[in-house]
Amino acid sequence: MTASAATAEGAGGRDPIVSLSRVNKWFGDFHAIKGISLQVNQGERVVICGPSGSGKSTLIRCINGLERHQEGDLTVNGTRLDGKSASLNEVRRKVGMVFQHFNLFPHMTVLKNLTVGPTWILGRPREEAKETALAYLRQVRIEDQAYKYPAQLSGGQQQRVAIARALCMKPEVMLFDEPTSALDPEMVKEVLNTMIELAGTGMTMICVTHEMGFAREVADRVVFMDEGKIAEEAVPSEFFSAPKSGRAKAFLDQILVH
Amino acid sequence: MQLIIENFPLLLTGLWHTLQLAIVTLLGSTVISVAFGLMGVARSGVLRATSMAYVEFFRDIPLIVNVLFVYFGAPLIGISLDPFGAATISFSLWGGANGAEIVRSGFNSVPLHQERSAVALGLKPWEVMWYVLAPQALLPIIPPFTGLFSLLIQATSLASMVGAMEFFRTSQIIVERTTMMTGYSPAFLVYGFVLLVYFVICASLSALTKRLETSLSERQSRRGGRKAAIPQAANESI
Ligand SMILES: Nc1ncnc2c1ncn2[C@@H]1O[C@H](COP(=O)(O)OP(=O)(O)O)[C@@H](O)[C@H]1O
Ligand SMILES: [Mg+2]
Repeated sequence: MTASAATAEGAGGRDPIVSLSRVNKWFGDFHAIKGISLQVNQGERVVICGPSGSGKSTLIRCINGLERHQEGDLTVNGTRLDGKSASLNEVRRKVGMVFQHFNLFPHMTVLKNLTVGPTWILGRPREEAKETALAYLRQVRIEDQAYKYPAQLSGGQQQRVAIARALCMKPEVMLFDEPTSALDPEMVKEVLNTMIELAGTGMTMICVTHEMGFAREVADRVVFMDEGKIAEEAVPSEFFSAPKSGRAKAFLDQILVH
Repeated sequence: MQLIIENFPLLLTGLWHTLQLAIVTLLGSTVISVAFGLMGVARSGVLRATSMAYVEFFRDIPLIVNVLFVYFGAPLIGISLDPFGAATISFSLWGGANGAEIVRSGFNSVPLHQERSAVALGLKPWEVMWYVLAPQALLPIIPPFTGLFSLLIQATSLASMVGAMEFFRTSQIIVERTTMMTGYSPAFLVYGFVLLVYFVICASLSALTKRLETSLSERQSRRGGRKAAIPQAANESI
């Protein structure tokens, strides 16, 4: 959180909350993340896109320490991920994450899903955790499902609960890894709306998604990944209208077809 | 019938020993199963390899060979075991190997994303295990584990091979003694009775676990079943 780092691109003048510097990650011999540097400022919304296998999920998982990077610096709000469990716990507490699917614990009610984190990890009193949970369920418009089990909810509702569950931990950054790509088309919209509303609250968001409408509407910046590298980085209007690289052009052509 | 009533005290002693054998064996097997099963899903490659080696070794030896091996092998390394000890140890080692495999595949049946979500939420490894993975692994573990328990109870009769005075051995004695004294063999009658007793024990065990299983899966279906939370995307990345 130094003053000089705050001059990084994007929403200028604010502190970078997530900062990657020449991060490398290998799976055995396979070089999955190749020297990625990325700064995300407080309140900024970054959309990451790119072809399947380009390392988007791996990158996102490195940011909250679900995967260990082998080289480079990765800092989340002043905590450097150094492989020690103290830094891991610290970072996971600051970072909320929503996956493609299987987010919710099927053997717990919706409410319990939302209170496990605050009560067990943050040590909040049960009643307080429940109040917070209900407030976030209200925010994602799903309060009436609090006592149901996840499998009784539609996929879209489940993803909204997953977002609420992450918010209950009062994260400083929210990571999304293709939260709508496993959903039926009619449910995509409700989840995107929830994410758009969340962006409106000023939450810092890093979203891996191919929903270009969403990117146009809320993203401050689009990061295009290809083969483990950031191939292109631009504001949405620029990226969509005039992609610089051939790979980005081909990628856009392909996803805008359907 | 007369014969069985006459020898009732002896049979009862045998039955009592069989129950003791069974209880200790089931407990021992369960402890070993859980320990080696969890090792089998551990992150550490050394633990996983150890678990796999154990499972493969003991599953591949016939149980009876195992019993004889422990009973006659233990003195060679300076441990003297009575038949009861040798039998329970070898049954537990064998049951543990089979049970570990059941526990391991139970845990493996829980989608990887469940662990990821729990870790991302900030839960500590033991909390992930205990609160998130174990409850979901339980349902697929129970039915094969009941089968294993039933096998182990039946297997306790093998303890007679090393001289344990368990139920099967006592009935054998009755048959032999009666044959010597009266000249006719009551084998059919006595072993029929033995069969009935084993059947009753195993059947009540499976009835019991059936009820546990039903109540668990009823709870599950009240929650809307075990189906994937969201339809599986065809292109889900690892
Ligand atoms: N746990 C893993 N072990 C080995 N290779 C992996 C693992 N996770 C991802 N990979 C590989 O890393 C590359 C990037 O994967 P991923 O980050 O999932 O890409 P994306 O999310 O962009 O589709 C792929 O080639 C994938 O096969
Ligand atoms: Mg991915």
